[in-house]
Amino acid sequence: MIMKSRRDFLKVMTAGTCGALAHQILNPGFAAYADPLGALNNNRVFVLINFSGGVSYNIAPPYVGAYRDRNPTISYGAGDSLYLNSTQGLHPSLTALHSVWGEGKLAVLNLIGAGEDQSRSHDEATKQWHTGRSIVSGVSEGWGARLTSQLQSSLGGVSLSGSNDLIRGGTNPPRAVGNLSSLGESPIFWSNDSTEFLKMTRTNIVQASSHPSNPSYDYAKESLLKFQASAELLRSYANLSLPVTFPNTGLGNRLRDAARLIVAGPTIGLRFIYVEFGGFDTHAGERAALTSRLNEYNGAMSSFIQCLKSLNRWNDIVIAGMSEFSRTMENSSQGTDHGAAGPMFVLGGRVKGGQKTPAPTATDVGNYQYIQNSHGTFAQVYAEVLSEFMGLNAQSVFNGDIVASPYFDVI
Amino acid sequence: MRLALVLLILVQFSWARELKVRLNQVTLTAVTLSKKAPISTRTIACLKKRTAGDARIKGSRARFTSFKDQRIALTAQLGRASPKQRKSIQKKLSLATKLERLGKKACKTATAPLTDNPTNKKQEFHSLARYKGTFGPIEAKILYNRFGFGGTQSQINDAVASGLEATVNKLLTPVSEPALENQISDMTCDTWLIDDPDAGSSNRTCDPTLVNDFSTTGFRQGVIHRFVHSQNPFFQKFAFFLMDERLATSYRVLDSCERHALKSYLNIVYQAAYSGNYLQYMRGLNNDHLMHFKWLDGGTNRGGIGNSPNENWAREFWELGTVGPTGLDGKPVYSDLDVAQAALAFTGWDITGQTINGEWTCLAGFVPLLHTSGPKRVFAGTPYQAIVSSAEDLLQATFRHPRTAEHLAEDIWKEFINPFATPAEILELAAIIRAHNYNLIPVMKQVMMSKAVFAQKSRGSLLKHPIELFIGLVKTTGFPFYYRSYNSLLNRLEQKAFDPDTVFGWDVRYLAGEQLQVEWWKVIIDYFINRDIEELFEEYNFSYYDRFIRTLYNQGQGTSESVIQRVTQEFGLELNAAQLGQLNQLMNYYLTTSGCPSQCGGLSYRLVRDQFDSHPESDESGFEWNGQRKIRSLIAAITELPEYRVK
Repeated sequence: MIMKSRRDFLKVMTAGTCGALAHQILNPGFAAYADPLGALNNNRVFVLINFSGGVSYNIAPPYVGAYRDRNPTISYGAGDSLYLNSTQGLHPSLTALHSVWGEGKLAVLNLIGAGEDQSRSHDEATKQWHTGRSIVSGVSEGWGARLTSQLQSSLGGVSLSGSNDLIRGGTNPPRAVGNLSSLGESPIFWSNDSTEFLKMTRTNIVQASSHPSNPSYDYAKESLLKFQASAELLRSYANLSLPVTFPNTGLGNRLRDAARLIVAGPTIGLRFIYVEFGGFDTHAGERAALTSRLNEYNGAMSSFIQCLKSLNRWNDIVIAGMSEFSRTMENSSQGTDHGAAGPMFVLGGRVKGGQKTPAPTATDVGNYQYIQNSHGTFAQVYAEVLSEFMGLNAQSVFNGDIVASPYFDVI
Repeated sequence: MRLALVLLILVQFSWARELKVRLNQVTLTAVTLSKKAPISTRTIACLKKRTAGDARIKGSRARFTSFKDQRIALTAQLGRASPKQRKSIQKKLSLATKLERLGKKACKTATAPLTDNPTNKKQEFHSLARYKGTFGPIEAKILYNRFGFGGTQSQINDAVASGLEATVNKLLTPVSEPALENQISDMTCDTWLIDDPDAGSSNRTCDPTLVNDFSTTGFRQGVIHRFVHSQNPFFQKFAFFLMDERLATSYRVLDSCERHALKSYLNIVYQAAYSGNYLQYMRGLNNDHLMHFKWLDGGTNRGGIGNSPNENWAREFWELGTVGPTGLDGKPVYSDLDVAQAALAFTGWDITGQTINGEWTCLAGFVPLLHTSGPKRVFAGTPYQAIVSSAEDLLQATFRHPRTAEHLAEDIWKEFINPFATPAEILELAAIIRAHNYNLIPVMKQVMMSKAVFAQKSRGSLLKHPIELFIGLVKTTGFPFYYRSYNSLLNRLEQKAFDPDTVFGWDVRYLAGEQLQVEWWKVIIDYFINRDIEELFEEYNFSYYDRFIRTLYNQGQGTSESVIQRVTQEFGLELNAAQLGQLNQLMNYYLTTSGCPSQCGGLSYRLVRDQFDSHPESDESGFEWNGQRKIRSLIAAITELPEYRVK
């Protein structure tokens, strides 16, 4: 159920078990989560991984003949992919996700997009996904910033891929952290006392500044002060030992940092982590390029999932995917161009797995250059995670009425 | 009664009628008033795309006054004016008449929305009129920071002495640099300079007949070396703008047989930077091996029956290089079908290998059989719809679209002026670009001398790229950075030379974000603070004392206050007394945590007096032991400040 207001939410919560029952009767389309008070549990973390560049549908290949015919060299069939059901599989590299599917904890949602005016430009479509708006112009605040505005902690969210539109704006935006382990490296401590003195001087100079306020100066000032604050809070987790070894790849290192932050989470109040993983703009030679990226993804995710289970945190985490758009049918370069709605994965210990919306059909494929149909928007999916799993006000994050989809029910 | 009526009519038409209209009935466009440099343009308002005039927002409506009504009112005023008033009214009447005439045609295609900046008022930070204010060290720093990568003290002093116009003319006049180009050619071959004693046996001579015989690492290093040392700072900065703000490409996509494409690409960029010819730049990229055929897949974009074209280049040619995805009104400039048609126009290129002088070399060539011939329709359904057949046709049609100049104006404004442009300013600058036929040198001259650049609100309103932080530090201090460190240093700051993650280049907000504060701090420590002082002197003849202290000391001003004043001025920072006081404390104390809190009054630290010593003695006191350390602290502190990170 998507709560229309905090008042509704609190009414249900304070009513306890009876409230949960009433909730179920009033909203027959959705199963009440079994643990209503769990949503208030500050241990729960939402991890969002962006397949940046626009990920091809061959990450979760549809088996329908029409799709295979239009993608003769780059698509996969039941025989050479990881079988989910008779209509769809997973890319052969995604063995870690396939295991989670087998456990019933992977939800596959098909044809999820940004709405009716989904853009096919990288920049504009990414803004749509990051700001949670279907109309791009004039929007500057990210939904990640609106999410963490509801949290008490000053470190409620972290982007492990630096600054971006998702975390911009709001009263308490997520922090932009790059390589977490660099916060613990000795070079940043020139000598403890000298560094402390420089830090103190720097802070005092910034606070004494009479430089006119403007967006660039304010941003530079904020970045400096926040970096200092983040470094203080996160330094002790920067080189935390974990029970699992992560591959030394770009995504492997980021998810290792994510695992460290999840350990830190209950102490520092961290509830949202964003990671970007690029290289999916496969205009040419898609088969090899996509396999290479997904091999890295699979290695990193395998370690991440194992680590979360070893730390007994698997039930506290939901991992969702995003990508600014999916892609077209095959072009003359054995690649694909910019499409629209595409597949999305949601996984975690509390996720209700399954194929939540149907795989593309022959009608969806049609004679179109790209699939133009959509089963829903990312806002609908994430709103369910925010409200059902995290106990937050999803309406204020996505600014407007989220029309609950009868298909989703991932939590 | 009749007399009263006549008087009423006269009074009524002495003032132009002001109509209250709906906001969405008014759009903006720009007209060129004079094509003589500096080109003068004027943004005008259009009511229902028919009537030209001025408009302002009042409440939820717009107040519109047509030029026709202004002309009528001014004519009436002229009839009653005294001899003293006649000249000024005649001037206004001529202008209104001209705007009415120009507006008739221009309004038909006006689409930009009316903003809350009235068309008949111009604030300094919006004005492209000539700046006539003070041109001192601060202003010279602004010019060099924005239109170069920073300036040396000598360049700043010369600029102040010469004045704004002479300095701009100098910046826009290329200087031949054969010695520097020889150095770059040398390091491009094998990454080493021939006179570097550490090169040893790594030094080699490349074969000029083999086009791929050079090092991509050396090539990337050479580009940065040119940015740092060139006596043509504007052209280096402008080349960087073209490579970053417009379309960016990466060396990673090239196989060893086609490394030569890096050099061809750079030639296209520098030809555009030095000539300013933007149309020729895009024509060059249309035919470029690296940008079009490899990075953006043009070499596998096949036309013909049964093939779907690869849209990569077509999309970015428009989105980044020319018209941009949306107009000033937020509406899409082109459709998906337009992109597909444009992609067909770009078909026909192939990359094949052949042996040249014994080396396997991959070259791009046009193969007519691979090209989809015949007409393609682009910008369909818009006033700029065109039927094109070839890439050249598409280029011409694209440059006839007003959005090409507007998008270029948007990028020039936000890279070089300030982030405050409204559609009115964009239209004005776009009109100037078109009036110069996309020759950007005179456009940039007007920008460099404009009120907008030097306005108070513009100062410190743009973020610096990491490469500007680094080169600015080098130029201001004269500090010697080892040329073979450039790539690794910039890699750490994620502004990797010729290696952006995407065609969008580097996002300056991302690069100025908190996650890279750590890396900049580490760069300062590793490359600057921890450099061995003796090595600096022996290898580079660089001495902190000579650079920062000697002159002051000899004038009896070797105090920390004087040094701070000098260094902050050289960096172009305007700090207040409280901030300077903090730096003075940094120079005259050290912090210790030992014995705290019991010996520190309950605090976790205490400050111990350790006076800055500029005395040039080399015993246990004096500058060598004390002052050098403190100068480095001072510069480290300054380069971390937000004041240094903006321009």
